[in-house]
Amino acid sequence: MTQTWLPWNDYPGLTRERLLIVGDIIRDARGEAADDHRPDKYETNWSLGVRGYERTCGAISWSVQEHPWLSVVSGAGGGPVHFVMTIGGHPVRFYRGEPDEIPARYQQPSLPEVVELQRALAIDSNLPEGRCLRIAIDNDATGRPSAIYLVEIDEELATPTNVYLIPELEQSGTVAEFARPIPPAEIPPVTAEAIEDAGQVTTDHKKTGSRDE
Amino acid sequence: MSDREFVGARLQLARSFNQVTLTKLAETVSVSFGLLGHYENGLRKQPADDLVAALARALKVEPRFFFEPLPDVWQEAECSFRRRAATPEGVKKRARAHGTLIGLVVRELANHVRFPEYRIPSIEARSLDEIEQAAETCRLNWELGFGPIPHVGRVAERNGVILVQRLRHADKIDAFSRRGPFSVVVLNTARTSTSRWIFDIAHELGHFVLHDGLATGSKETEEQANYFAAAFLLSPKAFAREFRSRQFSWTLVFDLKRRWFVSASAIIRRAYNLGLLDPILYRRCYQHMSVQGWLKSEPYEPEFAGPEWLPSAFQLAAKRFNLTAAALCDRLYLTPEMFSDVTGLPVATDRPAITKPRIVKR
Repeated sequence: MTQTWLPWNDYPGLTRERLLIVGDIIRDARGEAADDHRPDKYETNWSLGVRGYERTCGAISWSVQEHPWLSVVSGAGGGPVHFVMTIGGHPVRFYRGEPDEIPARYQQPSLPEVVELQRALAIDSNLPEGRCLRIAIDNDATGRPSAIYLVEIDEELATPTNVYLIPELEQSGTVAEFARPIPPAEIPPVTAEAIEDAGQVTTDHKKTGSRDE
Repeated sequence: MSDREFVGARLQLARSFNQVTLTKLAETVSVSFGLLGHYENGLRKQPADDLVAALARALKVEPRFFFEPLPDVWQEAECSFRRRAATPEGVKKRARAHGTLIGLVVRELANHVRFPEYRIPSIEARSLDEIEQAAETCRLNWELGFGPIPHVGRVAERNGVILVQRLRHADKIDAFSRRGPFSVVVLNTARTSTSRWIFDIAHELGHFVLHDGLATGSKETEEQANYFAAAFLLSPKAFAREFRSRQFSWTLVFDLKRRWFVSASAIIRRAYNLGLLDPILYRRCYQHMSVQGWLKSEPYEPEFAGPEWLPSAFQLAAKRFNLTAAALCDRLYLTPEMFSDVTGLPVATDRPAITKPRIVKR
């Protein structure tokens, strides 16, 4: 498939490798949620959806430690708040569905997202204005992601302006291309050690007389 | 106190630290300017007890402070002042006095607490290539690899440099260091940019490595220390690979800042020095940073791990040897206020809290 829109041309922080990694995190989390689904124990699509959503949020929040370009600005603790992450400084939310069927509650940027959008624009004034970014997760009949897209939405028209199909990491054939960056040096904390025979050592001024003399 | 000799250098030390002029001090303690000058220079020996008490009160020390030996005065030639060219003499004097007082505290601690061994290599390097090589040698010696250095303060402390984050009332100095019996780097707390502190520490390490036994302060030595700091913090190959991995943008610069713990301006400068940015783009970047106000205050400042060794030494001395801040104050003849000003540590006094008198109605 030829992709007509390459997000990193408009959003420098959204590099191909980062999108592949985020796509992979989502694919893994939701795939495992689907594996654990137990319709025989009276679980419904609702419970599958909740499990998939919570696991996706959790997996992204944990991955923040591994990828310095990834952060979660809202919803890291779970619960009924908008989950907003930033990829390379660009705020992104995710929803389940087709790229051109954006649920109403995902059509406008949320408050934490607006803050991040303004921050990103203050740093790079060349970023597109009036746009927000979503990851659309299209599931198959079993609840596993069949395709994951990055969708750029026009805030006013609430319609997608650009769509990028995020390839699977393993099939992309470019893993070697972006070998992991060198990890930061590990430097253990510094702590003072006592001199064992400290009691026998005298200071200069003690030699010359103490205060109580 | 008549059995002991008045030490004029200590009067000068306390006066410089408190930034009091000779004239002002003479006025405060009601003696002539000339007489005080004589006591400082040792031309007159024993001031009267009441004058000593007045001087002590004015300079926030105990009277006995003036009668102790002063073993290790920080000399101008031993110290490196960041932004030294623009530093007024009075500010430098005050900073040196602060250093000398820190030295007294550390000397006292050194009787009980073992110092990390001084392991900073002295490397003769003048050209940019040689400095680049020196920075790489340090990374290898200290087993840091070639990735980002998250705690450069720890690196300094682990290799025998004491870090003090307490330089006050001196906005004309970013940091200063001294190599001597105790090698110390003092950071300016008036500055709030953590990426700048990180660079300041690396800059002072540069002086230790490159200018052992040499006078610093010239434009040349400052530029060499700056180049060392950039080379040390942003290892050329790894940094260049990451810088080139994406098209240039401010998002890339701030991504790199978050990862490498170095200011955006240092990243831009380093990229220019390594030939990753052409001169036109470099100038435009600086213009953009200036317009955005980033040359004074940048977004996405990294977390800064402050000094660890000195607080841990104080803690250990208090716990193990009962050498609390109050006990150190007593031994050094400093008032708690002065001790706090020197070390940044609060001193718990045994005095009961003063409460308002209550009027009891009958």
